[in-house]
Amino acid sequence: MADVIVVGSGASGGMAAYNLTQKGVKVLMLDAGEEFDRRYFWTHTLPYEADGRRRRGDAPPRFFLDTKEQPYLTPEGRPFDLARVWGRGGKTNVWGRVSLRMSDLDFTAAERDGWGIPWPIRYADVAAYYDRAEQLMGVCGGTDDSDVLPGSRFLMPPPAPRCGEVFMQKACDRLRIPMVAGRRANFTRPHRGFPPCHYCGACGDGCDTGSFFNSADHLIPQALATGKLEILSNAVVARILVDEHGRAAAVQYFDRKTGAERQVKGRVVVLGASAMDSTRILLNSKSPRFPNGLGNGSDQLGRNFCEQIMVHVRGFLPQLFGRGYTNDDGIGGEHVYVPRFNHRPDRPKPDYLRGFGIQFWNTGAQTTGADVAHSLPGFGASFKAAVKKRYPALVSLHPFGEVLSRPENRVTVDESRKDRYGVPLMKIDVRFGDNERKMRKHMYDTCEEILHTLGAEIVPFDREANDVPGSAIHEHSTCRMGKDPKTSVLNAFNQMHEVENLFVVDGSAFTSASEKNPTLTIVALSWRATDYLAEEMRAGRL
Amino acid sequence: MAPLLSHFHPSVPKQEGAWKPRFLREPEVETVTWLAERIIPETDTPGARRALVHQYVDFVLAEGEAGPRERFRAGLAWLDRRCGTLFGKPFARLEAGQQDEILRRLSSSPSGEEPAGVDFFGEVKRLSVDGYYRSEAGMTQELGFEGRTFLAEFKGCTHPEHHSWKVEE
Repeated sequence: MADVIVVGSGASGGMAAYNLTQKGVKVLMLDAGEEFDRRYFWTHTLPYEADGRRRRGDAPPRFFLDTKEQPYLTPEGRPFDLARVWGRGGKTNVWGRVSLRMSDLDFTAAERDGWGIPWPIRYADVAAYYDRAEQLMGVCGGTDDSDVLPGSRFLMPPPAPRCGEVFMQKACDRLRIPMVAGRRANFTRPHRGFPPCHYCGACGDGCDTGSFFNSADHLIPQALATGKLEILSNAVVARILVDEHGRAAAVQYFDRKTGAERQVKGRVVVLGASAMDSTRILLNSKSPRFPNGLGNGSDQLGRNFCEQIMVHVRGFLPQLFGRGYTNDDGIGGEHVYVPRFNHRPDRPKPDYLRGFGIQFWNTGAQTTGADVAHSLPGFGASFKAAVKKRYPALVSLHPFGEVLSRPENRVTVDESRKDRYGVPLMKIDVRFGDNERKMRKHMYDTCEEILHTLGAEIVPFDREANDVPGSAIHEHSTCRMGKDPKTSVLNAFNQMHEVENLFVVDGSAFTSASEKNPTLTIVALSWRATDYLAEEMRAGRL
Repeated sequence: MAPLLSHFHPSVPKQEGAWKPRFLREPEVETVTWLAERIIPETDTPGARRALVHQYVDFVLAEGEAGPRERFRAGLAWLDRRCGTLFGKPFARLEAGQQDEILRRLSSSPSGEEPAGVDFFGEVKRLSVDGYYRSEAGMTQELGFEGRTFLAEFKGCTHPEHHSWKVEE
């Protein structure tokens, strides 16, 4: 019997296994897939080479889970895009790598504006874990801390801005909109035996040199090296089974290859299967003692979904027209970031709650030129010339705004619809509200203002448009932490109020989403939770 | 293109041995080839025809779902009917100027043409653009792409005139 069963091998599960095994705890990890072999990544495969290979029947590793294999339900007319990676390292194989600390602006939001429940922790509770996580993850960035974005002292040097980003900085300076160096878990220096980033810009296809943080290279091998970690691959977890005392006793899973049902026992269970799947597992873990799902006496499990709303505005900078190709690949994503600014005293008070930051991926000649061409009207030689002229001049603005957590935005399981293992499917029911729509207007206005300041050609856009819910791939709060067991599922250490030997360490534990990308916080919180867990075990309380 | 040559249509280049379409039929291949070429014509760099965009379009359609595939086929038929009405010949047999004329009608905003035709043009343009700018000719010869490769160092913007540029007051 394992000391601890960890479900999931991504940022949260990987960290749980990493930290616990360093402390001598025996861990059994259940991974829903297998290792992705980086020898077969298509990191440097150019699009036309990829076309040729595909025609010959070759294919890159399939990172994202096919919904045909594991469907999820949505209500008619309310689509939700759920991206899942089942396999060693999970989504960290292909993640966006943006690594932003949350601050007390985020942790105290509910106290200040009254929306939702308060976080049970403050920045001071996590600060030391952010320090450790940033060092482990090799985050690069500037020394431009603020009340929004604190604590940069362990960052590697940031990459230099691209041409388009230099102009964006000038526009933001003029508008008194803050702009800082981007913070990303790309190594700009050699790190933990791995070479630094080689600036090919193709991180989304998986890194062939392991030069950005991912669980498969930077957590799990180190955990395996302790001799304390065993991994079961292709183990699709269905339920947590409880004993007569209501404690987690075993984990039921199905072998993804054979469909066979299996159970494994452990003293403690740590769930890090990503927000939606951890929630699904808990909701399906029904028993006489927990008829509405495990640890769901509060009826908060599955509720309060939140994330970020995203919109996209693109333009062409006349300053860069016709300048020809420059290599703008860099660390595969923007080198600059606009942190939240709507709360600043010199800004008009917004007519909505919370805030947004702006990211800028796809600025300059980072893509094939099709992105530019799709934005331009017409055809023929003049069209072709217009594309070439604007190719180096593309700038893209991507505001991410905090979506408020609402009880009616929720995950449930449908007993009448089963997956291939006979386990009820999850249903995700999410819609944005007035607060998001008002924030969206401010997001679009800000993007326009920045582009107008530069005299840019703005690609026409629909002001009512935003990405489908789920698109940020930052799902939160369906298993939220809080002080009060009546309004939350977990305590301040990601431990279930109602089941003391069960911890949930992925994004579902967040009390609110903030406007920031969550992985750095997930790693920090999983580290903190498993420190607590190991100490409780050592003291004989678990 | 010189006017005298404007109706001269060399055959679709054959590469990768004997390429055979998987979805498109032979006359459709020809139509798609010339549609893509009129959208992104040969200039001082190759156009869509030499970039083998028709092969890309066929591959995408063959790999894709049946609905869009059949709509595409219906769009090709619509185009030939419309060209028959306007010019008495199917699209692939028209002179370049006439081909441009029907594309101008379909791409002008608002267009006086039927929505089926306007939508089809949008789809052909989307596929042609994707195919051309991801081809070796489109990426490297036309746009000079040299990325997605190993760099020991990333210098960022090294243009003094960009750093000294000022927002106009």
